[in-house]
Amino acid sequence: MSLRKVSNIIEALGRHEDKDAIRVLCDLGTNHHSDEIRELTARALIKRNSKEALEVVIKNKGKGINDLSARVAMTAINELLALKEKESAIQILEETLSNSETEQEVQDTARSVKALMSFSS
Amino acid sequence: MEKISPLRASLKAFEQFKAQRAQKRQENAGIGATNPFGLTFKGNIVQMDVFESQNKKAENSSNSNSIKDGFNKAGKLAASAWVSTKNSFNSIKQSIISFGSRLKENTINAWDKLNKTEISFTGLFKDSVSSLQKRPVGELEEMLKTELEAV
Repeated sequence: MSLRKVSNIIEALGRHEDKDAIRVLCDLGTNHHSDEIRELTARALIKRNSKEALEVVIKNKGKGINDLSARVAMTAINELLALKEKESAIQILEETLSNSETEQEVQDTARSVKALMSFSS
Repeated sequence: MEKISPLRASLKAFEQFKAQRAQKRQENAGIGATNPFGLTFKGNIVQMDVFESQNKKAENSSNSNSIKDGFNKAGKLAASAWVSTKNSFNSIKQSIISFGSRLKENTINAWDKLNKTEISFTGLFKDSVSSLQKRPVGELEEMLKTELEAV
C-alpha cells in the first residue's frame, strides 16, 4: 500500500467541492481498522470545517474526538483547536451537549473539548 | 694439367675474397660510413650524416679554428634539430587531429543520446492532491477502496 497516495486521496476528498465526499470519508475512512487511516480522515474532515463534516467527528461515537484510539482522538482535538474559525465547531459541540438523546460518554468528551476550545480562543 | 682438390679450391677462393675485402676496406677507410646503423628518429631516416668518423674527428681537432668547419658543424646541428622539430610537429599535429576527431565523435554520441531521451512529467503530478481534487467523487471513492484493500 502506498500511504502517500491514500493520504492524498483522503485530503483531496476533504477539499472536494462535492458534499458526497463527506459520505465517502465517513464510510471508508472513519470506519477503517487502521488507526492511521482514521487519523487522516478525521483531520481531513475537520480541516473542511463544514457543519456536515464536523458533525461526523464530534457527534458520532467511536469517530473523531470519540475514537477509541487515544492517538486518533487527540489528533482530532488538536485539529479542532488549530481551526482559525471555530464558530461552527463550538456550535456543534453545544448542540451535542444540549441533545438529550446523545450518549453520556459523547457528551462528556464534547464538554471537555468545548472547554479546551474556549481556553484556546 | 694441375689437379686441384675441392678443399684447396675453396681455400683459394676464400683467400681471394679476403684480399678483395681488405682492399675495399682500405679504399673506404678515408671516406667514412654515412649513417652505418640506419638509425631512425621517430620513423624518419636521418638524411644527413650526423655521425663523425674517428679520422674526421682527428682532422677536426687539428683544424678546429677553421670557420668552414664551424659552419659545417652548425649546419649539421641545425639539420638534426630541424628533423626532430619536424617530427615533434608531426606528432603534435597527429595528436590534435585525433583529439578533434574524438571530440567530434563524443559530441555526435551525446547529441544522439539527447535525441533519444524523452522527458515526460505526465506521471509526476498524477497523484497530487490538487489533481485528485478535480476528479469526480465516485472515481476517488473507487481509488480509495482499491488502496485501502491493500492495508
